Amino acid sequence: MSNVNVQKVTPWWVKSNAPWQGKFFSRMVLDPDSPGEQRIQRIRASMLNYYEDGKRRLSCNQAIIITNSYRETEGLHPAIRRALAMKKVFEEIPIDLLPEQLFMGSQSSGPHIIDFNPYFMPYSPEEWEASADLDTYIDEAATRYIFLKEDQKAFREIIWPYWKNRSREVYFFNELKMYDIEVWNFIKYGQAAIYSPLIGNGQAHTIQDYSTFLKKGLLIVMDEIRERLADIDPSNPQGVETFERRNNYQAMLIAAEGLLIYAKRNAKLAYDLSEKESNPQRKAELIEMARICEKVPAQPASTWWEALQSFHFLRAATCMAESGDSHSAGRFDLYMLPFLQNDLRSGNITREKAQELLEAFFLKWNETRAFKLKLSVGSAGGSNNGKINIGGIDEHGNDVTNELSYMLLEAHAHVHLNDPNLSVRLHRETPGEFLDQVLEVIRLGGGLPILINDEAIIPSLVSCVGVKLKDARNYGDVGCQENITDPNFGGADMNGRNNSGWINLPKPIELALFNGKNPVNGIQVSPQTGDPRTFTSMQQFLDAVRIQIDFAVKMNVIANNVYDFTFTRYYPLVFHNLMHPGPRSSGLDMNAGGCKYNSTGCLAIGMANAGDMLSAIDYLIFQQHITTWDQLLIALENNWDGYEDLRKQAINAPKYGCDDEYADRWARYLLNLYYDAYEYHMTTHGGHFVSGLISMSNYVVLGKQLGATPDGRRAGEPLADATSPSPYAPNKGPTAALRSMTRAIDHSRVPNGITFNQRFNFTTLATERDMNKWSDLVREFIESQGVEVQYTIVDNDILRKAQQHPEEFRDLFVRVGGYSALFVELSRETQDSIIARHEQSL
Amino acid sequence: MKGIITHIQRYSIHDGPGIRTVVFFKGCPLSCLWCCNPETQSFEPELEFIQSLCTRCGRCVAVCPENAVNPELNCPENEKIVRQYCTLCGRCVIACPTTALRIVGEEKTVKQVLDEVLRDKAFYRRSGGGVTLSGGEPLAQPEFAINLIKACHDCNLHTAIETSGLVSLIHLQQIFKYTDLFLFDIKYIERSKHIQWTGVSNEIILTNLRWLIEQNANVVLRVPLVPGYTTDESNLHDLAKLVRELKIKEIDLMPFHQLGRDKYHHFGKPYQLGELMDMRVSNEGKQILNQVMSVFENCGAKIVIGG
Repeated sequence: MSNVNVQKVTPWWVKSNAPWQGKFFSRMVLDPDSPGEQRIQRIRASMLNYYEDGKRRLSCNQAIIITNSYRETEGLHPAIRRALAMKKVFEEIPIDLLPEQLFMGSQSSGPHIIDFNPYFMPYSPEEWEASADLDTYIDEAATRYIFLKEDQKAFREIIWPYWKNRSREVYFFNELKMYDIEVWNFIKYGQAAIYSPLIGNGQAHTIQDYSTFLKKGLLIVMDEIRERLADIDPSNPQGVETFERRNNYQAMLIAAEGLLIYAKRNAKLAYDLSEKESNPQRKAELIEMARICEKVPAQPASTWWEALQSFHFLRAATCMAESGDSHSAGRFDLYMLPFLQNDLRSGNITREKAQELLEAFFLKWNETRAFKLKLSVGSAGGSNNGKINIGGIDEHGNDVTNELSYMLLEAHAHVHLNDPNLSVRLHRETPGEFLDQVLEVIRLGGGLPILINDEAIIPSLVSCVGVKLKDARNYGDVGCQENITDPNFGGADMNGRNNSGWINLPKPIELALFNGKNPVNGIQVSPQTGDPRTFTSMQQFLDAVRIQIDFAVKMNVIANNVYDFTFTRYYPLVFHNLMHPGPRSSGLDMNAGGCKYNSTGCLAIGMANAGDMLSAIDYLIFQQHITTWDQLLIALENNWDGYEDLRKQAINAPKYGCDDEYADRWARYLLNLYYDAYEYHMTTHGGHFVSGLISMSNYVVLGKQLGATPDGRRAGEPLADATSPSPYAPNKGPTAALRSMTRAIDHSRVPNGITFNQRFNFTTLATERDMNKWSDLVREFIESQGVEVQYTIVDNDILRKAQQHPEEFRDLFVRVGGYSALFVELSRETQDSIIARHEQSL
Repeated sequence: MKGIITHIQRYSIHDGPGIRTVVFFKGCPLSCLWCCNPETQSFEPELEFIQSLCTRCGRCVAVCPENAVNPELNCPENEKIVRQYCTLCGRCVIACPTTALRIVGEEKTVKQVLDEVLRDKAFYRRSGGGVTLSGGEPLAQPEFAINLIKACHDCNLHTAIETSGLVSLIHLQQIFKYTDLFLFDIKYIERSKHIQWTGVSNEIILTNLRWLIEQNANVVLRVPLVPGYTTDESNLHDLAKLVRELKIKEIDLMPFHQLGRDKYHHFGKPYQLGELMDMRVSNEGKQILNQVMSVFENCGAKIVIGG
């Protein structure tokens, strides 16, 4: 009964008065009063300060080690230099362990600390050209993080001087400036995309091949690499590639050696801690943890604990070595299942212990975050965004829901932090019982798990990326919702390169309005496509829009292809290569085409506004003859000041999102132009470009880069979020929004995913009857081939936000029988009473 | 033929089984003290003003030809429009840069309403939902209501009607064959109190209820629980007795909420129950709810809170 620490902790769901009721909660494995769950809640509580935007320490430990290594490895192949630096990090980076944790290893110097790879430097093109001011970085870092004096000093004296002219960004920018000055200028002045994913960031959004390492162990994988290395014959090479390959193989071996050392160091730490431990139970735990770290990832895993520890080492090492966010698990509930089942069957472990271990494992994902400077404004939250997929169909089309699927849901309900991010894969035959319980978990709030639709996503991978059906059926998603194949199944890995930039969908339309001149800065950034005052038909305008879109897309494509080239040329992806079967066996860098499947995906924002712009122009000028081009353009240039009547007309023009076919078809038309433009282009690493519709919070940033628009929006106002209707659209409820979404978005052409946010007030979900109706709504979503949906359950924080920013919450209904109103239209007093009610009774 | 409608609300989940679309009719023969949709009482279009959306630009004052808009830009919400001068010309609505001013109550044909309702067919099918006529009193526009519900019925939709019961029997008989579910409101059994608080007597209502039961109609009784009014012991016992006698299968107890209060201000109507507790929030309200439920415990009907 007694544990390390007998302090009893109130679980988070009791503190928040979350709706902890329903079938799911009565079937849970771990009782909240059990020692196991109490431990989890204690660890969680101890992490909360840092987690809730409390500042973490930004450390230069890793960066210093890497800089020192690079100083000593001049003259070696770029892959070897990276590998040696990684190995040195594994050997020297501090290691630590949170009290009561059951897993060793971190992706940084330890819990609550953030480290970074210095060869990814976060300066924008303008900053780099202006020889970026070091103080800016240090100041900004010091506001976002705890940036100690000694770390600042190290950054100033050791890291910055070495890397400022050697970072990957330098090569990338130099290449663009030399050959693609048009692209360079468009990046700076066009405001048609945010390039933050390509700056200061490692290769993000991947799924690792865990199952090979869990089954064979790292040592055997290294032997296999050695065999391939030995096969290389420099006396009869197949071109330059032969030598690249052998360097990549050797680099993987060096990095792997580093990981073996790291595991051993953690084993020793666990032993040392056990020596000092007086509590016999904890002592035994630490000894077992030491034994496990001696064994994995070197050897195959046998027990559930070993499998989770091995997985964690491999994932943490990937995050540390490669930076970037969202290094994900893929179909965890399938390939990890045998380890769970064998352990349970053999009696080695109880189900409660297995659940406890899974939850401690979940907590590890939250110990720290990827380093993000300059990205902070647009990508709110700063989670690792590492994803786990649950459920879905297998390669034969059969549903795979199993006990581990439910355990993952329970782990999320208990741990309930941002990481791991969870996607539940739904399909037509998703078991009713499972869906019901997933919804009960979503009802707790926090937006997870998100719901993704096999019926929509699998066809998109087949048609746009050329993925074989079998592999497509085993897809996993990464990041927010980008879809790639899962290498844990048949070794089918994929380099999806899932963020080519945050694309400003309305911008090319704006450029078509102003003949290629960006009205926000007055610069001629794109080709002249004519003054619309000379256009006598909508088609003429659409032709101009098409030219602008093709141009903007081409600029983005070139930037990304150059990025791929400079990335693979100067900083090959050593650890990713080790963790992906394709590169591991071929020796071809992942960014040089090593994976089985390849594409590059854009993330496009503002579809509602862009569609509504076309709808408004057609409606106001050509259908209803309410205004002329001249009037409209002058009104836009004046930000609608003095043109309020016209603005009202523009606002009342048909809008996407309220089940209006006219408007939805414009959105669809606009998106088709983008899909066509992107799909036309090839990537450097193989395959073609594809599209996705996700925004995070970049819809705010991009809105600032757009003037007043014909849909009635004023200059600088945020765009609509991802695939949601714009705030100017009449609100017809969730069924109308769903119908518009499926009408406007061609599911088979967005393999890079979408996010579709629906908000529900808790009063809509209070009873079992309500939940059944929600389930029916979701089933209809599956049937109509919506790609993704995520449900934000409105809590009081959101309601208070709605009081401050009503324009962002025009979709919040208060649903009570026989009554209907929008929350933001109620008086302050009534709103407060609704909030009070939330707080009291659920 | 047209009806006057205030709102068509999709994804309604507390107005009958499954996912439904509710059509709110304008006009009601009752004027209950606690009505939470006061804009549905009058049969005429009305001007609504929502202060939380007002930007105080003053354009409404400038364009009104009747001086019906209060020139004091920060006046109380319910004094914004001088109702006796307003002719509902709509100029202020057009002039307003936001949606702070709007006219509630629009004429629609059966086809227009049906087209809107049919959009969610797939959701009805999956969830066992359909269309619900509400308001106001749907049968106060009998020809329109009957034609609409017949049209829905002919499209194989499940149909429901939320009614006050104060309707002519002939119309009830005409609509009966097209209606799958009656959500029948009963406010108060004792006659004089009923008149005092709703403005009308309840004999016809009770007669209609009995007629429906005799026809084996699918009837769910809807009881608004208004503390200090409908929740007194004698009424509760009268209601329970009625439920037992008529073998009602389900009663929906609707706890009083104050969400309707703002609408009185929006439409410049006096509201008498502004100080009354919101039953869902206050502890006293919860106690009352428990007491009510214990009265109905053995009346033989399924009890649902909230509908």
